[in-house]
Amino acid sequence: MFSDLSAQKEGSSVLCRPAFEDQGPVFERETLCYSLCSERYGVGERSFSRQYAHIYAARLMHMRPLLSERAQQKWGSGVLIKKLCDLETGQECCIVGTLFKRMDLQPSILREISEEHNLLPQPARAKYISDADELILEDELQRIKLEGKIDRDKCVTGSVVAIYGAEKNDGKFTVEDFCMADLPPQTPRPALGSDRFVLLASGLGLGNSHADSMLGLQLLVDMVTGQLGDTGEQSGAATISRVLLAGNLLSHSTQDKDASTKAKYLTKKTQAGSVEAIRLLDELLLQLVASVPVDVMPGQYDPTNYTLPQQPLHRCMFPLSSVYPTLQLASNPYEANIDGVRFLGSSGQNVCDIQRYSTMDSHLEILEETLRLRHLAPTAPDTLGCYPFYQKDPFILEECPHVYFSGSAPAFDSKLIKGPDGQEVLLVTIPEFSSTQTACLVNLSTLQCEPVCFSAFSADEDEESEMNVSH
Amino acid sequence: MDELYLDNIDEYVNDHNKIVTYKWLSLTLGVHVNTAKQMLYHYLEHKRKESSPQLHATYLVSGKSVDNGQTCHKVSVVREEQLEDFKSKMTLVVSIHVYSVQKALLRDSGPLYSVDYDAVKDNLKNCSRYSSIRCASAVPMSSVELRQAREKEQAPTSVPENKKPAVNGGASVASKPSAKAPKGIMGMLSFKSTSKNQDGSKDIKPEQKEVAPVTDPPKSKPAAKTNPMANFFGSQTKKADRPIKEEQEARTAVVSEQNQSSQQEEEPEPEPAAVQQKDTKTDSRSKTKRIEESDSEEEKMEKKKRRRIKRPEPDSSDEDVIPDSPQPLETKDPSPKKEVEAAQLSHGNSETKVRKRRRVLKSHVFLDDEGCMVTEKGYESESYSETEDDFQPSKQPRDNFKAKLPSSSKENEKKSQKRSSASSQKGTKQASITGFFQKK
Amino acid sequence: MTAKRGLITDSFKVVKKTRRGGKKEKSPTPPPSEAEAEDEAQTVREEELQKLKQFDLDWRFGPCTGISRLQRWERAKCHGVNPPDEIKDLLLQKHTDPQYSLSLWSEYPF
Repeated sequence: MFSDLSAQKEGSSVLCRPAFEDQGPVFERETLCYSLCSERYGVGERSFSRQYAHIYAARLMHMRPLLSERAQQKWGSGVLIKKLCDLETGQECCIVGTLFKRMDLQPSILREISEEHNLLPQPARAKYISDADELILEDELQRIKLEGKIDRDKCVTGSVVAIYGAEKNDGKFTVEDFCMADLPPQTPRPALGSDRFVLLASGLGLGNSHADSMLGLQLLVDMVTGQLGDTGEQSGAATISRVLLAGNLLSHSTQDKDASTKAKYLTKKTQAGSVEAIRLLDELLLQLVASVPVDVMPGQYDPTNYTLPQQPLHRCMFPLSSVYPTLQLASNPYEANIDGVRFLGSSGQNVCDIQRYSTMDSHLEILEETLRLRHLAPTAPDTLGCYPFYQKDPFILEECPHVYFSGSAPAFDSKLIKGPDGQEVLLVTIPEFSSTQTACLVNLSTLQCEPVCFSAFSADEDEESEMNVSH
Repeated sequence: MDELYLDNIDEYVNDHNKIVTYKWLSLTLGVHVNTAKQMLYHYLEHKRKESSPQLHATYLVSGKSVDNGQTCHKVSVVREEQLEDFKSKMTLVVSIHVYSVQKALLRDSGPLYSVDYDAVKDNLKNCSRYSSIRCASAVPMSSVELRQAREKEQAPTSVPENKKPAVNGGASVASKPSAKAPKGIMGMLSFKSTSKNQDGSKDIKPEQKEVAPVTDPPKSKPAAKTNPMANFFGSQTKKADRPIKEEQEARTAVVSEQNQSSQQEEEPEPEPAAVQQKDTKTDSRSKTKRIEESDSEEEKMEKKKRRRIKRPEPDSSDEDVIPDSPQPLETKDPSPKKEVEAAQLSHGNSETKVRKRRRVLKSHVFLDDEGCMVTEKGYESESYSETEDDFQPSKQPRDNFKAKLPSSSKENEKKSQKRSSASSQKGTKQASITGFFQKK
Repeated sequence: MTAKRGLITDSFKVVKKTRRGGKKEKSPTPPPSEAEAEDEAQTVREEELQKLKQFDLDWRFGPCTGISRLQRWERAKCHGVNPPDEIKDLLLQKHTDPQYSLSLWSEYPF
């Protein structure tokens, strides 16, 4: 525990008179070897003229051998693996394909603009699933409706799975069992001698109207930079060797709704809401990068491209902090190797999207599901914006991370899971800081994760709620 | 002598009625943060002994705490009267220290942030000087290092572009319209930041200075073309806010790409000249302002175009404003007088353009790419002033644009008619635009 | 949108122009030799193009719109679907000829 580590020091109290010969302790920040491995999330030449068929084709091509292997492990090496076009009624066999869930409630731009139905715009919903949904499996040539032992509501479009069963007379495929690609192979983690931490935070939400959350953020910065606390706390903070900001640095409210609905001539002179927020962010980052290496990922509301993979924020937005080599503007999804520990994660769009299109609610559960599916964002490009890749689907996990996270979660949660081949993965949902005032610390040597809460007092909530500020 | 700081703090707290946080004190007196915390503690102790009335303190408490079964490290600022209570709720108290001292009782912790914010803002350059953690690698890069780093950064971005076909890049079918632009932007950005760093320590508002060299160009011949633009940047500095300015500097940088290096060399000297120039131009301020407006509009529209996939008809009439708005730029040099008139006009009503405009239903017949004859009707905004010729070419691009989507144009058109009645969100937008046109 | 459409029309122009150019080159050059040789070259070309069409139509290698034949070949190769090497050789030899390098449906808007 970070607290225990920080509390070990004796005589560290600062509740005493200053002694002037002592100029105050100075700790060296632990530095780690670090390499960013996010090249695959770069979008070099931006051509949007291609269809999304390629990404599904590349996904299936990549996953088919992996799933065939899994299928043989699960149902015996003699299992009959067929293509849909060779399927014979009543014959038990295994099929590898991409799931597609036909959903009535799924928002569709075509339906919205079709003139025949004079429909009202669909209301935004928390979930877009209904009882009328149909689960369909597609391979390269054909598709077939699925029923049987597969949880329709839990599955999402775009997942590549292997199913086992038989086609019935009515043309539907009855699923007896199915399997996913499960965790990819993992490079073992080196044994680290001492405790070192990486701090993960998400959803700083700068630029929203509630200024009271700012003290919490400032406390976070002060803790990491070694200003807060007594010497014990500060020596603990020196072991925080990296800070990772996982998206949504700016608040949703900085996205000017008027900009798209108002006439240009009316808003010509108004300043974008994000300008002030970015300036604030630059100042915060400056305080951080002067003391600790920081990785900054963009999120849904940040000023970069909207579709995944989101490209790094441009450094011209950070005139103050970008002169420091410790500022690393990274992409979303993010993949890096920090002292031999592989981090992979996103700012949370992939998880939120799956939440909308399946019964799964817990971000942690969804995170685990995507790991088992071996795909970061199965719902892209169906319901999640995505660049039209054609050669390779970069969201397929080829190497198993040690820490797999997603940002902008409603609450902190973490779990250590084990894979079939001895993989060990720490799953972390990083809570939205602006609403929870909580960040989290990952111990690189033990792969433990603990939340760090910040709180202050305010006028209306006295005693009782004070402890609950962090929720 | 030792205790001088007690008087200092007393002055801040009692005379200036300030909220004194440890961080503010540390930055103000230039002492280590821990020393500042101790000073505050000492001061508080001292005052309590004197039993002088009305001093309120807040404390920082951190430690292990269990909330809803989840163990977490908790860092809190609490009022003095809640301190013991708070401590008792913690499983393990790691550190406690005085966070702030003030005369008034704080109702909420908001002011604590503002106090720190101001202090930090004044000391942004060395905000971690007095903290207890040093980071060896966190040293600001010099301008040379910066440039190298950026070049390195640029190199990989251009490499994937070349080898992209092997990974996930473009099909040969796709030309690369955007490929050039990023480079330009990159180029000018690196130019910008390096020049900024030459300004060195007073980095806080480098823009002011930086603009000056840009305004200078008259002496260099190739820059003559950029002159009007530069002028407008000159006046721009005074009123526009930073981000816009950056953007515009960026634009100039693109225009004057060839003589970038020479400009950089000239940087130190041109200031007086630029100032003079600015003075002489002050009466034409409104003129430059107008250009700026249309210019930024163009920029915005460009962005918008890129983002939008399909634009309904009425919007694209708005688009027509774009191509002709840069026009004044070109006409400006030959006929400055007309421009001034125009400027006066636009001064009175900044939204009104000099040329009048009306919306006309026009039909175009053209051959599309599949060789089909396509007739389409559409509203177009048309200028009917004496400068008709200027305007004519500007419509061209749009026609092309339309020709390229024969299949969708019909839908578009129908939609546009439908749209006014449709109750979609777009409706409001459209209403405001048409309203704008009807007004005249 | 404009960018996208621009691309398509650009490619149309390019395709037409180069093809016309290519054909002109092709037809004037052979005459020095005999008409038979030209015929032979023509039949070879037809055969090759036929092979490439077959490659386009092979669903195992994924969709072929929007990307070049070589790109499609490479994608198939990197996913281990074993596209025929013969095709690659052909594509590398004639990579300047759009009839070779672009897929069957490259002219269709999509």
